[in-house]
Amino acid sequence: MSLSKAQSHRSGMWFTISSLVSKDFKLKYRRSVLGVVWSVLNPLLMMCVLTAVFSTFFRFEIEHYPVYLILGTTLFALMSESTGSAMSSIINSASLIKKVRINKIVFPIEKVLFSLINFALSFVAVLVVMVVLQVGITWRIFLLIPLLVYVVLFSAGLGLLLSSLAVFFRDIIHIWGVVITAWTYATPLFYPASILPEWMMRFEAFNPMYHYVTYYRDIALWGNVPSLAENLICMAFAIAALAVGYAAFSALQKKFILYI
Amino acid sequence: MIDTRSGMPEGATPVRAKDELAVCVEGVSMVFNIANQKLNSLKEYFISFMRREFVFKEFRALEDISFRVNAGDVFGIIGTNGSGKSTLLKIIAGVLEPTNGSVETHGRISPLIELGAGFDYELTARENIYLNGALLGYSKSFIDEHFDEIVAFSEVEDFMEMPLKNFSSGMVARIAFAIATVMVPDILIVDEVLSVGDFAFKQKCERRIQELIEDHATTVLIVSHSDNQIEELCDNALWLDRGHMKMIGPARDVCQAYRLLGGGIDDPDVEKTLLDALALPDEKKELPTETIAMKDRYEMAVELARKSLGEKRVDHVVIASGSQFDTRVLAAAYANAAGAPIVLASPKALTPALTAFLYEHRPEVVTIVDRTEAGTSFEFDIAAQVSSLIGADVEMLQAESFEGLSGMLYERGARSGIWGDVTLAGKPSECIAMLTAASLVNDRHPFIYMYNEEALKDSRLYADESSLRDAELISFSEEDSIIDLESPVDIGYRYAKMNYETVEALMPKCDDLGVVFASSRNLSHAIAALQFAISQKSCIVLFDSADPHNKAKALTRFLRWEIEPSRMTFVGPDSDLSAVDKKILRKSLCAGRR
Repeated sequence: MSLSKAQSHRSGMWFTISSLVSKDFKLKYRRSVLGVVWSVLNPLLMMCVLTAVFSTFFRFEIEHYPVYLILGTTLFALMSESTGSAMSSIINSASLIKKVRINKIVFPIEKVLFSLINFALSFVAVLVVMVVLQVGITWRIFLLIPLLVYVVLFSAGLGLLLSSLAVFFRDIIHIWGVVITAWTYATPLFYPASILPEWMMRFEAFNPMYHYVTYYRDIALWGNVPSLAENLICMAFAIAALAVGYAAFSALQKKFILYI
Repeated sequence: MIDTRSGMPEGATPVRAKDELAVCVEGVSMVFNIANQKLNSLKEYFISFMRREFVFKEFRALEDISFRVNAGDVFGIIGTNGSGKSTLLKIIAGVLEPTNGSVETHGRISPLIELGAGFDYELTARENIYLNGALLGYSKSFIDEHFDEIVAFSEVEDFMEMPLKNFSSGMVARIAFAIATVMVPDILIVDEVLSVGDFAFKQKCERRIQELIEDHATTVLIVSHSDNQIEELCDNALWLDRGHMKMIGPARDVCQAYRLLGGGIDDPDVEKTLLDALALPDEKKELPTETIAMKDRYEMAVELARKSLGEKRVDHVVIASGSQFDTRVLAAAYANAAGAPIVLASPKALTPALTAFLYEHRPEVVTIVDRTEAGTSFEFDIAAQVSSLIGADVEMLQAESFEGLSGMLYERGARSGIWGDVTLAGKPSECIAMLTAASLVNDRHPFIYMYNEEALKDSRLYADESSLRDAELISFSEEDSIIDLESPVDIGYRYAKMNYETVEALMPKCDDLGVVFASSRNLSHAIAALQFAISQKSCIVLFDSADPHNKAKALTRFLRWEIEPSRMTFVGPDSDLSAVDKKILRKSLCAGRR
């Protein structure tokens, strides 16, 4: 394949992905009065509920608890939404895959990118909360860009792995729902990491989401600049997930059509 | 290679030379693992793994398929449902990976495997055009540029902003076809998509495909189970039978063989007999051949009566009740002896064809034959209508049973002294053998129906000895059971067999004989053709065109026959006897004497 052909192939793939993203976007907000506003409103309302629940029952001593909460939940939602929707993306595109020669990787990738757009909208909610609660927004917020690269690559890797496994074992879809719930509670989203027992803290070192959420709070809430070592850890998780996911997807994708 | 297409239109330049290779399929096999595919959950997988039950049930959808398609060729793939056609196309389109073998394609492929795959019915038509274009690999600028063209082709200008779910399926198909063919592909793959949409749409699609073929030298691969479509559109064709290559070659030859074998059969002997018959050399001398086909049995009867009469005018016409199979047989024998044409009357009303025929001849006497098992079969006063129409004397011959009716017709004929020397007597189920015998010996013999000889003795015919000639009781079949007239397979086989046996028994007595072929699945035509056959000096021969086994049995017999047909007539529409059936019948009857 010549270079120019390869380039046109790649740009064609981006057009395909962007068309699918715009399809999902249109379908998500079709026929709702507030439309895209919901994507901002939703994390805000969720934050209110969770703040009410946790500050009443558990009384955590956390400064700016609503900000602490919304940073964690929105970033975690980026991962859980993108992996969840990527997982069924191949199965749901069965009719297309059976009839058109198409690079199948576009389906899970598209779902991850669509979740990223949702994250961007919920980021507006984050900014609103930060302004209202007078948490200073500093230049460190731009460190969100490398963080998003890590999280998106990590989610894409998981999404590729899950989407290819789900084709062969539909059970994965049910199991993943439980895994995500467990993961939500295993990651300090609602509670401070300090309440975790010693053995749990050792475990958190291997929880990528713990690293990503902490990174986010560092740059947005606590005014820290994550160390190079922390960046390398986050990157390592992302690259490892992507490598495993991509390898599994490439190995299995030829067989998809026989099982969907 | 036979090029059936019209020449290149002036000014259009072929994109590539015709001998360039476009598709090369080599040794392609496709195996599906049936058991494997059912294990869709971890539990099932685990259980079967623990039990070591990994017994893979293999289904070989395609077996060692190899062929080449040159650039600019139109290549057809034909076969019955489940023969692997669509699987093969999907492999060529790159959607499926073959288990073995390789596929090489040169150029851009546009697969029309299913129209509208990837449409989202919640989105508007405009949004779907972009989405579908993107999924087919078009660039945004390309779609922008051709958007109007797509809209114009699909004729949905006014509905662009409407969600697709409100569209009719025909409209959706139009949009999908327009998107898929707006880019001129090097290779177009068409999988029975043309079967959707209305007639105008189909024509439009076919025109567009023709345009691609002629102006752009697009290579086209078409899958169909319609052999007519393949024969019409393609240069070469491949016949797939249960995953195997059955035949490959010029589309016309392949389609002819496909039609003849009815899409493939299990029995290799049958297949060989039929293909051998097709491969027989064409008859040397020109054999006068004619096909008589009309809309229904009533028009058919009038047409056959006209043909057998020629210029002759008659003053006596026999009308039989068209709804009664046996009445028609008996009335035919009577009419033949009386020298009167026989036509059929519908139970509802006088048909236009019958009225016209009666006007033409204005007979003085009209005999109406009707079996009145459960009252008359006519829903109107046919005697009064015929008599007021042409002022003829109308004679009603009505009886309640087969035997009663045949006795009545016999007596009626005996009174006028029309009967010949031989009396044919048999069961109603043997009527076709009697008919065949009648057409062969051309005698004015009466037909008598009876179930056994005792019944004949008891009948009043036997009592009146002077009026009953020596009945030559021909037993046409050894089985006692009555043929089930409702079962077409039964009729197809057993009536044909009786017919052949009668022809073979009586044929040595005849010379210079023509043959009238009729389908054994639709005996109406055979019965109606009796007088016509006699007037043409022909015998009636049945042929079961719907079943390859019966076909092969018949052809094997025909090849042994010593007759030299002087002319050949096919009675019935193409659905009874197809063009290729007629061809092998001509060949095998003429080859018999070589």
